[in-house]
Amino acid sequence: MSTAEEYFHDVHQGNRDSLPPAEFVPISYLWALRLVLGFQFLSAFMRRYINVPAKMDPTSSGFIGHKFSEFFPHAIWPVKPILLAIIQHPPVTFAFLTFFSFIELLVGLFLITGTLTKLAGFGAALLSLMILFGSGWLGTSCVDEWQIGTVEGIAAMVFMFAGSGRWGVDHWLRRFWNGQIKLGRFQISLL
Amino acid sequence: MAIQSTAYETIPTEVSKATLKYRDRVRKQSVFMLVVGIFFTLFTYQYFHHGLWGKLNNYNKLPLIVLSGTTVQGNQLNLILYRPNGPDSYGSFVEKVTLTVPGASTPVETWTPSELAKIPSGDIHNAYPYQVIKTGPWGLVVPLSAKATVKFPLTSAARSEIQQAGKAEVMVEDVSGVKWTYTVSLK
Repeated sequence: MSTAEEYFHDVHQGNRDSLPPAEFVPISYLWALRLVLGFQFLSAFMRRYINVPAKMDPTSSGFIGHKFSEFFPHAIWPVKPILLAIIQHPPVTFAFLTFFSFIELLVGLFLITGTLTKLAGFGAALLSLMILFGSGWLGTSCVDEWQIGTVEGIAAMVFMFAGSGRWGVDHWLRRFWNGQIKLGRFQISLL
Repeated sequence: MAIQSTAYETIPTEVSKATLKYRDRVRKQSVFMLVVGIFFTLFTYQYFHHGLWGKLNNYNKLPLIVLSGTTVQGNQLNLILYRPNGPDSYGSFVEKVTLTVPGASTPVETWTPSELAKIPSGDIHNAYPYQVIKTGPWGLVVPLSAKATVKFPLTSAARSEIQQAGKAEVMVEDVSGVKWTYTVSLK
């Protein structure tokens, strides 16, 4: 196994036989995780809009507004005040739920297809942490929601920094655009 | 070794600025993830489940009804029921409410399951629109996170006994036999 310097030098010299050092791991190891993680968000959307449309019906007892309401007692700032604002006004509940669901759809599709992967990873991390801080205390037999929130949150952060690798729309997009944007003094990479 | 040493000689000793910048970014982002990941995992584990110190708990397991803020106003008991704990899939069922004064052996007021089941919906003022307290066939159904003020009329005998004692204790019993009490302030 070579050191990072040797490896970079070999690659630069056009030596395709050189093996990367131990600290460099191919991103293809993360593809399966990206699919599974993306499907968590995509399936959340599907459950509401395809499997059980009652989840989006404010008059139904299965409406997700009931869940938001259930999260409230032990939720953590800043999710707690957001929840309170949402559950007190039914039109706001519906608007927020619709917005949240479509963000989940986009994050899910983008992670699965490797489109703007770093941005999708950022969105997934925010969604996961919101779910963790809101509902992390729920789970009647295990610490279910805490496990979901922490694992999804940190997995999402890996994609926020690692990106997609060769398998994904980003690989094609990189031919035309490096994905860099400037936000104030921060240089941010979206893919 | 001889083969490798020739390769070494061609390696530049100076690492380029771009490489240094790249490594610095990787290090910063990795440490960032490490710190943030450890923080939100351990913090939420302790906050929600008391998993690091104290006794491991699960707010989602056993029902708890909090009666804080309950008052007696004139000839009316304003009973505040708030259920922050317990399963989300199934309600808590209040099947008995009593009001006692210190020193008396029997409650000055008792509401039985069938009386609780007949409370008019206008006397139940829910705080939130989704998780609401309602009457069921055998008392009050209190779902997770619901909060409501339930108004109970007092008989004049009960009222005067409470006025004399200066305070009263309200007791709410779940169908499982679990009881919650609260010392009521008079207004």
